[in-house]
Amino acid sequence: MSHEVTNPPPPRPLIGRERLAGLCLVAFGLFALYASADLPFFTEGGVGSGLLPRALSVLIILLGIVQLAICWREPPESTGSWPIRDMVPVLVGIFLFALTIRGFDFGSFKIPVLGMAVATPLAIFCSGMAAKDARLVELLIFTVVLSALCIALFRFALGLSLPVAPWLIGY
Amino acid sequence: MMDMLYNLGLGFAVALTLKNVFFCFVGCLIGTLVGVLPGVGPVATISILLPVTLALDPTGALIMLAGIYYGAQYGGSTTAILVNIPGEATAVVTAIDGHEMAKRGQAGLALGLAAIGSFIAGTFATIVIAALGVPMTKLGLLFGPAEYFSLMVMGLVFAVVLAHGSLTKAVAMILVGVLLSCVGADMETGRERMTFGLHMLTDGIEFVVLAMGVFGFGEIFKNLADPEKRDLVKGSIGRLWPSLRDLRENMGAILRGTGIGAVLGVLPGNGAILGPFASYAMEKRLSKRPQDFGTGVSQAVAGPESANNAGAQTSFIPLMTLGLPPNAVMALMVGAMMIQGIVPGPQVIERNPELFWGLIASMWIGNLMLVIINLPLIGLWVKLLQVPYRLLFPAIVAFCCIGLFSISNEPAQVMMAGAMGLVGFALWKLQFEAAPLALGFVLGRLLEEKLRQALIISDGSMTTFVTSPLSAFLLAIGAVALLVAVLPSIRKSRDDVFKDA
Amino acid sequence: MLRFNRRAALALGVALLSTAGLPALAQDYPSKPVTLVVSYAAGGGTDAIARVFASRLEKALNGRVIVENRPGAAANIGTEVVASAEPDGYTLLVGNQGPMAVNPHIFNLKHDPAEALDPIAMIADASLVVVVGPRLPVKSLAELLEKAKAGELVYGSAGNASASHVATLLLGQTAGIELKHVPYKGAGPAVNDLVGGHIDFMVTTIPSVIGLVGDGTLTALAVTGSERFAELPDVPTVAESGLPTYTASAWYGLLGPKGLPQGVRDKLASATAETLADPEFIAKLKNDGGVPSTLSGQAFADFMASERARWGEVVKAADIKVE
Repeated sequence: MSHEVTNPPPPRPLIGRERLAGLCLVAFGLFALYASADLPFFTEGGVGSGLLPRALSVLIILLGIVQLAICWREPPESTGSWPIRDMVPVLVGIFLFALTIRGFDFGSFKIPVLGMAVATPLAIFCSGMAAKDARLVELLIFTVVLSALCIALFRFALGLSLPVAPWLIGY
Repeated sequence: MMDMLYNLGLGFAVALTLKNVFFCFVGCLIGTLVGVLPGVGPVATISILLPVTLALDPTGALIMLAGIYYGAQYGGSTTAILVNIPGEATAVVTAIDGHEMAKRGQAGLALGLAAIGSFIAGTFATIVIAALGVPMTKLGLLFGPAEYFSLMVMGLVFAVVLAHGSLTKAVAMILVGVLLSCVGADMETGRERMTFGLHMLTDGIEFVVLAMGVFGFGEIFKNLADPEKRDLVKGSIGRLWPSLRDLRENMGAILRGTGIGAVLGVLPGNGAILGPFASYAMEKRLSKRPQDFGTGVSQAVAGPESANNAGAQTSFIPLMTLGLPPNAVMALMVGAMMIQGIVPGPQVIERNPELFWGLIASMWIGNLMLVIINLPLIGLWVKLLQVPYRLLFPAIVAFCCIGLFSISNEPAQVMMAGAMGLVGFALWKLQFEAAPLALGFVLGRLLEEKLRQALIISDGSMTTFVTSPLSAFLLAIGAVALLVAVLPSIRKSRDDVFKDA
Repeated sequence: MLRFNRRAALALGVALLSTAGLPALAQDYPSKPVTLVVSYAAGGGTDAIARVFASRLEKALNGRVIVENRPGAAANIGTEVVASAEPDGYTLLVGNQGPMAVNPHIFNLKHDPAEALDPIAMIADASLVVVVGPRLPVKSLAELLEKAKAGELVYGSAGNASASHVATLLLGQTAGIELKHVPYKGAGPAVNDLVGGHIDFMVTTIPSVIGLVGDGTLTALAVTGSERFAELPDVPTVAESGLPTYTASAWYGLLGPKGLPQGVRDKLASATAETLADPEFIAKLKNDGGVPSTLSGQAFADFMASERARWGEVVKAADIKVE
């Protein structure tokens, strides 16, 4: 790996898509090897819980090296832009949903069980803000309508035991 | 033969009563609905409805529950095609080319072929159950742990064929999938593996979390990063329904898929999941343009969808002839029968012929209903794609979040899927394919389970995999398929190297 | 953006559901839906019993009862959820012998079920059955034990530390024989391999094999309960077959967080008793191989304590431990 980094820098993209892919495989394999290091390889009379994970980790590292070897001499291709910032609202929406649907205990700070009545509109509105062409009023109306629909559908039509709004109606 | 016709006649007489047709319709409708909704599967739905079925008569109850099951299989493909979220392992294959077709404006064609393919498969599978149900039961019993392990190895080799890009990367993705399937408590010792002390990981990573994250959320991230591409989806909406010519071109794939799916559906322990991608692998092998697979080939939707539906139905065979449930839904069906005071097992055919044959006949009626319910819906689904993406994706996020949470009422699953979405995006950026990952994940669980069971039984002797003729045969097929898949690409890449030099 | 969004959404949520009033206090219990936690995913045996039980309990309590599946960590998550819930009677647990009597011996649990939970009443007690398949053509338990002494037999179980597993361990320990364990994921696939002749025998729940026993595909050698099972009158108990001290069963009970108000406890206990007298519920239990229980309150607590001590010894002797 260190060998790879000291490679004379190619013209534009530093590593290139294919090499990055190879490096990712090697890194993932090493990580898995570390994660499964405490597991026994064999047990009396059978395969231990560590055999398959560690064998797979080694194979993945090897494949990563093969991948690096294949693209070694090819000119690196760019992976394009990584517009992580555009995704943040969606991730925030997903996380807010997770934190509010059943509440969350951070130790010093507690989020109560807010239920679907809060979590669903949060998820919809927040992720909707990710679109470059988002329109506030339209999104607000859409959020209200769709949230009501979701509650009606999942909680009442399908009968899933999801908290709706315990702080308001008790369940 | 006459017996069979007589029995089927009895079955249709039972299934065609107004009441049972109604139950069948309700089941198919609920099934389609929960299938379309990502995360809410037939297992949760059926268990919620179980106490309700107490009030119904046994035949009606079972007809309805069965309708939910194959309706859900059907609905799941719709979501896979439209928004690239495979709600179940079997829909992963459909999503590969199905969603590409939808992006090119052929959503109607893809959905239509899926519907018609499923109907043909359902018809054929109904006949198979009626005629060959009992002998086919024996097939499932031949598969002990050793044979099953070899079958999974063969399946993983087929997964290589699914890839349309780099072979190295595809194999790596399969292995990563198998590795991810190892996370969680060890089935033999209960010891936690690679869970980092996280409670939510002790039972392993949920397939739905992986699929919705990598495929569902990943697709949204992809589209947000690339707004031009996402607009192509709405560029042109093709014909809504497939033409006769489309049907003719896909009939071979449908029939082959049906055959493969029907056989694999009988296997215990979810063997049916192999069906769709064995069919995909076969279509790719037979195609004159295998390089187009993965870019929206109709045969790659029609074949696997037929296999899926045929398998979903023949998986009733072990349940009905032996009382052995091959998957979680069938286990619930056992529960439903017990609630009604019917002991599932070989005696059901003799003791409750009207139930047995009525259920079989209702499957065909159910398939007909699914076509009737879904063909008109295709127009609606395609219209759904015309909803501005800025509103479509928040809706997908909401449905996914609720679905993910409802799996085990655990918010952490929702967060994990969100993180998986980023992984999916990174995979796309690095041109790794997600389908082999998902398949490796699904097959990996069974692979290790069966490997270890087989070795316990054989006292740790690896020869158990070749001394069983069936196991040896399956391994041989796998080896040949691997050679066929790998050799050309090794030769080709070597040619490329020489060309460059 | 974030802060605004949150406030807006909260306001929306309030606007959306501003019609209903606040729930009344817990004087006339239950004044809101009761949540019945099941530690397994929807679709399992415990889940099925809990759902039918819940639908009957609703009538007896005259209020809604919602089943909530909180699976995970060998059913320990459900225990934890209820142990740390408010003891107001609105969060209850359907506990069974796995997490209540076996898990405390093999896991490091955050909450000891005996300390953190209040046993309300036992629901049912289900006998298991010893069955053999075509690979081991024996006709009685004595014969099976004979064969096992001659060479190691392979048995399947519904999973590590499941009722099916520990009951077989106890059988082996009582008879003084070595057995080889093949864990499966649930009874279904294990029974499949038993029928296919890939394993020798199994101790499993009665409903998972009763159809196959009736047909002669499998042979039932003995039931593990203290009495014969009505639907299998010719099958002796294990105790009758030469191991007089042996009994094992899968049981289910209703528990709440420690510190339930006495009034709520009494109401729940009498509602459970009423449910268990319902002929339809009894019929359902019978189909699952179970009989309704009469133990409640302290008697149920004592039963759990004795079960826990008993299985603790079995698990210790077999050296099952999850580190």
